[in-house]
Amino acid sequence: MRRGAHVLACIGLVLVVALIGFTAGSGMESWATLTLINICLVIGLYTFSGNSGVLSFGHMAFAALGAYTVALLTLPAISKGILLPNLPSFLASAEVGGVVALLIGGLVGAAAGLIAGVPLMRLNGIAAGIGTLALLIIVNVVLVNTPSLTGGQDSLSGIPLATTLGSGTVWTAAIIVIAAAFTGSRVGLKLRAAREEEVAARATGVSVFPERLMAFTLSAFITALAGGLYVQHLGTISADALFLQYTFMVVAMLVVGGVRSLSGAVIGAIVVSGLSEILLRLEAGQPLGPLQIETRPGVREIVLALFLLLVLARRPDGLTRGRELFSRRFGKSAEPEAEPGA
Amino acid sequence: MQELLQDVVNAVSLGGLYALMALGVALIFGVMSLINFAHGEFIMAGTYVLIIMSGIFLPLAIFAAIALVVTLAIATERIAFRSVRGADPSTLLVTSFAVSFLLQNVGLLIFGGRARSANFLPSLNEPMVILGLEITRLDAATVVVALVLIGGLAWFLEKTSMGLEMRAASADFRMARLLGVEANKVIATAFAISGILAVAVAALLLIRTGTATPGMGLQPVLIAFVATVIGGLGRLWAAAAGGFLLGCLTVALQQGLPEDLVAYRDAFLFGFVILVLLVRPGGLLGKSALRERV
Repeated sequence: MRRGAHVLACIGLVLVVALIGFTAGSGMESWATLTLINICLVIGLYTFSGNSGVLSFGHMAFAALGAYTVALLTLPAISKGILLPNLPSFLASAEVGGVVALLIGGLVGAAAGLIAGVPLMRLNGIAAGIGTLALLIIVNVVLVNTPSLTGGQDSLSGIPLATTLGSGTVWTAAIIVIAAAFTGSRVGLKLRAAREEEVAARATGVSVFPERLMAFTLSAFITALAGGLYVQHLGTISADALFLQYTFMVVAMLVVGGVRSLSGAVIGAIVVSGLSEILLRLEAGQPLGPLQIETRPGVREIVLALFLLLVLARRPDGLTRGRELFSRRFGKSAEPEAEPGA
Repeated sequence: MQELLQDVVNAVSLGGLYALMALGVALIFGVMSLINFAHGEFIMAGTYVLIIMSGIFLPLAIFAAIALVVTLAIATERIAFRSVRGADPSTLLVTSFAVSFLLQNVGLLIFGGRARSANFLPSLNEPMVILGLEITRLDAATVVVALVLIGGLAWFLEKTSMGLEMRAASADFRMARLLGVEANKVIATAFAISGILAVAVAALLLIRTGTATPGMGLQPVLIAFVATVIGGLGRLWAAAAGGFLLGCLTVALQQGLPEDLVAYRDAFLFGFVILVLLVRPGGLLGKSALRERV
């Protein structure tokens, strides 16, 4: 099949989600927008973990940084005076447009990724998992305990709502293109070589650390941008909204779809978001077609966790088995490809 | 001097508690390279059982808690972890993350989101003054429980044949199986012991705080990770020592940090974790390298 067919397929899936949001009504517009944001978050994680094979529990830290940056840059100066009286003066008076704020938020995330990546990218396997988890906790502790910038435990609200279903679709498509371009690039190829066989990759001249650092920085940028989209959709942000629970959701989405492919990231985000919405509606007592099942708070999370465990046990490479949509070997058994993706 | 000694008492008591948390995680890591996020939920389950049974005869409550948590631990292994045994570390990590999330929400479903509290052995919180030092009975009890359980575990590992098999399995799992060690039995035993350790932690935590929530397992399990990483992955005594070290570090940071930075104490602790991972990936007391030889 043609190179890049899977990129078009992924964008097609995004358009389907958007179409459902535009036409289905009854709160589906908000679901579709949140699903698009989830796709962006999962692609952010995929850009690093999918290509490098190194797990990260820390990406939500970048989403939180992006979200707070956007919040501080777009909140009207009057609300800032009330909510955050001790803000440094350059932030207190700053009021920039939604798109500019998103990009600045992404850059703040990228800078944080670059700085955090210098130590973290030297770690492998379990050490990387624990190290990135430590990063998530450090950022959370700092956000919660710096009330002059973030409002501390309380949430910030009144942030101008700039993420619509339309703008979300455009951003998601752009992020898919960026992630696919990176995956197909020289650096992406080197990274996947190191993922499959680190020793052999090193022996053929891949130094691993700079490639991982680049991927981490780019994925931090994408994730922070997604965090900005999130806050511009909900209009409110708290440090604990983008912490362990959401980390679990994003990791689950990526693993369910298949860590090793971009299509997997998109499909996983859509499947888990869809399942989550159905369970949420059951919880709220809405009938689902002819079915009327009463559930209680907590059931949604339990079903999602069971679903994830089932996928991990039965199909550890995810629903896509780590293949791209429309690639020659899509759906075949899980042997590592000679030249994956692209 | 007096103040310093008081800090040492606090550090040792906290360290004993942390060592118990770390041992539960390190034991499972030893036999199956699994970092068990769900250990926190074992502690949560134990705490709820102790609260529900707190009015009844104390040994019975503790027995019930041990019975339930050990069953839960073994069931968790059988249902969730066995099917991914031998998978790569990230799959194992995600699995245990999912199990932890699952159990936490089962806790939410059964007990509700609001904190439950009970007066569990309140007399242990009364202070005693020894040589001018204020020591609560709880401090003393924590240290005694920690030493007894660590000693018991050491005896089990050194003197029983099951312990020998377990040590063999942590040294080289495949080789041990070839020599006739039954993987299922060793791993189930490790989970059972980690359940007992979780109940000990649950009881000590309950005396300290008096409350339980479905999300209470997070803090202990994070502490256990930090202690295990600082001490050294894959060595039990190193994990226990890491727990004591972490207790000392926590008290030292609490006392030593400038006042406006004390709120960020945990950020410093986790920063230290990253530092240890970088400088000695095998932990301060562990093997110096984790990278596999080719």
